[in-house]
Amino acid sequence: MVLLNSNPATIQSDREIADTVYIEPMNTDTIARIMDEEHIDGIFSGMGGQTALNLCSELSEAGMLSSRGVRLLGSNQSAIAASEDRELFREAMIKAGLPVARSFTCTSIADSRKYVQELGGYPVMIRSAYTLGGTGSGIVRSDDELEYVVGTGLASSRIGQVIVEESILNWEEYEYEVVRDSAGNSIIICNMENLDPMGVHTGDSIVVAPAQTLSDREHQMLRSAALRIAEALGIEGACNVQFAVHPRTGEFRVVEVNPRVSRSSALASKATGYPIARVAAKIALGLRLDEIENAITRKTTAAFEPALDYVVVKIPRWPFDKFRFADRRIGTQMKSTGETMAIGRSFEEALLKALRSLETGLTDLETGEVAGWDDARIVEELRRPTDRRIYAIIEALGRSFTAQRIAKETGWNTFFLRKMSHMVDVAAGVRAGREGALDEALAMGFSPGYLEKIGGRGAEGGKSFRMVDTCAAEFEAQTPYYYGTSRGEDEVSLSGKRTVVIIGGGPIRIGQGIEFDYCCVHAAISAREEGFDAVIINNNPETVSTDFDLSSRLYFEPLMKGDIMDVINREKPYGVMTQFGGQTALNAAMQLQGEGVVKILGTPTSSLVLAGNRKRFSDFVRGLGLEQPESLEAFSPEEAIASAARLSYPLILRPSNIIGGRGMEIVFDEEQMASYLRDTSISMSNGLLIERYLSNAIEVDVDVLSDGSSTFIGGILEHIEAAGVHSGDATMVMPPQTLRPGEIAEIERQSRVLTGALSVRGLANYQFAVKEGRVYVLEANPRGSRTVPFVSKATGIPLAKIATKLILGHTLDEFELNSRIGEKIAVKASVFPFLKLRGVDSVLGPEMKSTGEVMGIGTSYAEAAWKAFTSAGYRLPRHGAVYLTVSDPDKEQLLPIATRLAGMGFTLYATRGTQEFLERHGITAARAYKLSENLKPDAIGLMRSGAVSLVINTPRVASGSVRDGSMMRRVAVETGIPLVTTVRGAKAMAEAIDFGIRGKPGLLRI
Amino acid sequence: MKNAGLLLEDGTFFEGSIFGNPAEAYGEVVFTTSMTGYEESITDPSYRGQILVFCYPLVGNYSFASSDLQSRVPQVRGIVVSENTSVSVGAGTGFSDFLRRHGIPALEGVDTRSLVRKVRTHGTMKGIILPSSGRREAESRIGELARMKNAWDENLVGEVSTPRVRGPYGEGRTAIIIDCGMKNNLLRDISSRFRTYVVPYSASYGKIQALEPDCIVVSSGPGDPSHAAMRGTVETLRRLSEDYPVLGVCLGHQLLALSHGAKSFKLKFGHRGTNHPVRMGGRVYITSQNHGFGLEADSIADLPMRITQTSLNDGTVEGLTHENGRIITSQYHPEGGPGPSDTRFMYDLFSAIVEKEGDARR
Repeated sequence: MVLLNSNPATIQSDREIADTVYIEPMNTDTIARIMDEEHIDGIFSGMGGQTALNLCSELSEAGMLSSRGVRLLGSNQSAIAASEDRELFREAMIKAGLPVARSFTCTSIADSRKYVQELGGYPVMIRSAYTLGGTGSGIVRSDDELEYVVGTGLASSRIGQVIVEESILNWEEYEYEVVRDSAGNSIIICNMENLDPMGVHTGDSIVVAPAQTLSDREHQMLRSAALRIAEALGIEGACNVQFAVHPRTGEFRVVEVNPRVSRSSALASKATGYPIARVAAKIALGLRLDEIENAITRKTTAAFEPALDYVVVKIPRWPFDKFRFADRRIGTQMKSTGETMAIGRSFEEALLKALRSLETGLTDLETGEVAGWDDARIVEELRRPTDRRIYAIIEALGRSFTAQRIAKETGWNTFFLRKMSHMVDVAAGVRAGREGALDEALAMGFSPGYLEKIGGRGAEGGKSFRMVDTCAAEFEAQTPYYYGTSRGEDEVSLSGKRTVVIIGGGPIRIGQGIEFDYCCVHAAISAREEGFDAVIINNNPETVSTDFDLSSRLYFEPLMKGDIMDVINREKPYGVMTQFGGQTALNAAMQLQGEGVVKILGTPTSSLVLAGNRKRFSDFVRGLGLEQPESLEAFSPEEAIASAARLSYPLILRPSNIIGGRGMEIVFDEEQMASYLRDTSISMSNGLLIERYLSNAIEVDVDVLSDGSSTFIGGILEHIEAAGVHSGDATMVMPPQTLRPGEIAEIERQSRVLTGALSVRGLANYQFAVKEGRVYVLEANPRGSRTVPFVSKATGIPLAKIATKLILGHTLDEFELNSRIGEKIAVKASVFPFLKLRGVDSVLGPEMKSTGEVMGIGTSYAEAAWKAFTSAGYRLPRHGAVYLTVSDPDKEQLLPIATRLAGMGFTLYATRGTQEFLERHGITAARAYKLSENLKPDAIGLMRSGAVSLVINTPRVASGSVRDGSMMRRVAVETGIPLVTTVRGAKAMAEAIDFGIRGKPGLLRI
Repeated sequence: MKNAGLLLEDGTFFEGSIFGNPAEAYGEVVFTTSMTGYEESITDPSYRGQILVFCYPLVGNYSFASSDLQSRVPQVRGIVVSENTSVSVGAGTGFSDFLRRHGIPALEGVDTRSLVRKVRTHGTMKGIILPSSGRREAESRIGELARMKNAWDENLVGEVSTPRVRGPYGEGRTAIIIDCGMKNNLLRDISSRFRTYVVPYSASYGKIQALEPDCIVVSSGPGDPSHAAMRGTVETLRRLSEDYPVLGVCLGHQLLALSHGAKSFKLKFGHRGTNHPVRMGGRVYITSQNHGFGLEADSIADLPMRITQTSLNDGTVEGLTHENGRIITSQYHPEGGPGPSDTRFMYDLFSAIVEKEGDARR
């Protein structure tokens, strides 16, 4: 078993997962080399999402599989093609007698206009073929929108096709998860109902499982259709079918089929307890459903359909709290970064739990900013949704909008709205002190914390926990998979072993990625190795930590204090681990520290508090004799302006107690400072730290382990971009490439000093800046960081596993810690969602923007960088032209890069200032004009025409509020031209490009 | 307010609130795992004599559709749900009204999962719905409950079978459905292929023969196939199966097997749901089931019938084929209602047999 993935942050690319694991760029070339080297017999197409499916399509079409005698496992190429190519799909559906929306395939914008006429005008639906998450798709209502959407769609479609389709906007949307084997046995694992009707991407929809509003007759109609589709396409494994059902006539259309395990399969697996991917893999290997053991009962087979006796609600998690300038409207293009799922015995309970699990700072029926909106704005939100529609609905119900009216505006089924209306009424009853309302609210699933907030005095919660058993209690099951409910008896069975509770990471969002789940999973495995029962509390259906067989017991629950305490009261654990679940777990630690019964294991929470408070931490660092950039704290805008003047610009602004750099910004003058302070989303109540910005400093991330007395330096990561780019976005390299031995020694020394002073037990992460030989402490995070998986994979030392053992009492000297790094160089690059999120500037700054990461491992820095950039999706050019426009302070550093690129044969284009500077230093560059100059060639034209294949643009200010060149950067994102926004990033990119031209990438087993 | 409840014969009391008809109801407490099809379930005559517990907690989410009923009246003696959503979500009062009109009590607000776990562990039990009793008052009824006759000891089929011959419905060769508690879906399916008469379970061989059938269908129905009241039917089936192609469904399947000498037994808590996997040859089908009794596989070994289908859950007999190739049966319901239509092929198989037979006769 050989596994290929470029993502280091996932359990999937752990060495133990397969016989051989490659962390390499995911392209046909890599796969071809792996197939040759490893003598591969078959390749799974359906497990790695759209990426894997596309790759397998390419391999198959290019004959690269057949020439090697490699079999495609699971659904075959024609099944993939028929589900991905809209025309083939339509043909297959029509042949099987299944209804699809009327549509036309086109390859140009002009074509698309013609078909709009044929469909009877706007609105129409645009879809692009072979893309991920609906890139380049959308409902279009005018010629202008048509041009934009079709244009992007054509550019991002691998086969240059876009489909113009009959609008089924606002039809009800249902999904069926099918599993089918080679003998033709097929079953439905779960059906799901999207609360948001057609028009909102299913990934951005609130979803409930099982479907609530279908009669048996309707359900059987769709179920049979789903099975027929799987048969018509010859699916072997899992597939997801989406249907649109007309809300009044009941007629339906087959919308889409995914011939692979999908995000919905993951949700269906967690919603039912049925392990879809595991079964699909066995089917792909040739087993029949009735030959596969039922993992739940261990007695029967996988050939059964789960029965649920609870309700599941999924709510997406969007990144708009971070991307203040992004277009928040949701539609056919998926914008959420993650999701949360909740289980309850009623819809109300599941919904309330899901709302609590989102970690938006709002609990239960709280609506946040939406509460302040006027009715007109509420109605607008109902009609044209953003991520806040659910809150607008709650608000509208509270303002006596009828369910009927809201249904009309939103396209939601009144079933859900009436249920919610009842919830709002009960909450109002509590507020008004109505007799019995409090008990009713508790039974409905409201949290005591919320009820207390709205005046329900003496609300005592306490849930019992019930089992997810796939069979609605019909058979005895041993699944250690539980959900809390206000109703009924408790089914938890404890083993009597000492237990640790691991607080999970919650939904994936910017700053809180899959890395933390990786840490939680390792912690659970490690604690179990130590003879403990490892209990996980989490609510993210996309993660490994919520696989019920990973932990000793899994509680699928929100991670708010009350919900956590319910589990703790049931489990009575030896202690709680909060180091691994990122910010979510950190918040939990803060909230739990006052609770007498809870023992937080590892580093004392007082250290967390200290590290989270900028001012106190500053004083603490200075007290240790370590240096920090000069800083002042302010609690009001006036204070901030005054402090800024004293420190002098440029400055970096850091609000207290944040993660992912939220609200962090670099300001270069008072005007920018004032603009920042005007932004109301920044709270100054916890203090704003104003710090001297160390321009051109090298930033360093350090991950350490400690047993409370000695410290092990797990890894030192040098940032490639200059300090000021958020460490979650920065490109990093291990081992450091430019730091001098003395500087490294000093970093290590300071890390040890901090570790001791913070009484770290387990993991900690530090960030330093190195400038002119001096080391400055920027940040300390006394907990597992997002670089833990990367460092673990680069060094071969499983940091989180060892940290767990240290927390449980082992000492460092018991472990042999030999780092592999040194023989190899590892580069981490970030993956950004810019294509999906219009309005988000792609300039990197102190606020984190990336949603994922990749790893490149090589024998040289250039090779590792080439792999990392290639994996991150940059199409590294081998020839063509480079467009250069850099700010004055960066110009000096640009010279060697420009020289190098020219030497590789690239034509250089530059804007006036940059061109003149290059000329002065003997480098020839053609002039490219800014749009405002109205002369040809202009940058945008050069990019659109394909002449330019790399853009190096370092704006004057590395800050999100700067709009300079944003149009040009947007075009780069849309056309897929690699764009570098820092001069050091450009240097690394140049090296990578050079390697791409001259080097020969190797394959490295990890 | 929870001022009603369900008392089980072991003394357990489950609190709830009453809806439908506020009266007492006594019956065998059974559960279904089907997540849809409440109208179909409560009107399925196979639930005669039973108090039906829905595992899925929300019942009544969508409007009560009389077109989906499987018989004209509710057949259950009582209903137990976690939450009756119908009125509050705007699905109307159809569900409650229907129950009230027909005198059927129902409980909501019951911890149905615990109740199901109880039934699963102990097997089905006698139970009584008490419309206005708390736990204390209920306790005084335990002794009485223990002395009550098991529902399946009553002649349940007699209560649900058609009193007179109905039909013909549809066109084609003539099929006779022997109604032991037929669901409307079965009549719909059979009459879409055959000219169909429905006759009482007690119809004699002669009376059936007089209708000049080409084939016989024996329907599903409630209770124990070995019940004394069924002896006549079993005897008639013995004769019919010598002369005609026969399709047996659920109780019909059991009665046919009994007519050849097989033995039945009571399942611990039965098969009730729409997700039951059945193996037939190399294939597995998801089926709709509702039965409390099964056939002893050993008792079939020496008969001229082969076990062609088995349950993947517990290995029990799910379908038989006679050596003569003219009799096929299924323990499950190919007609669904509620449930999947994956096993409609049973009708195709049967139609093919009837066609072949008809041609041979001619």
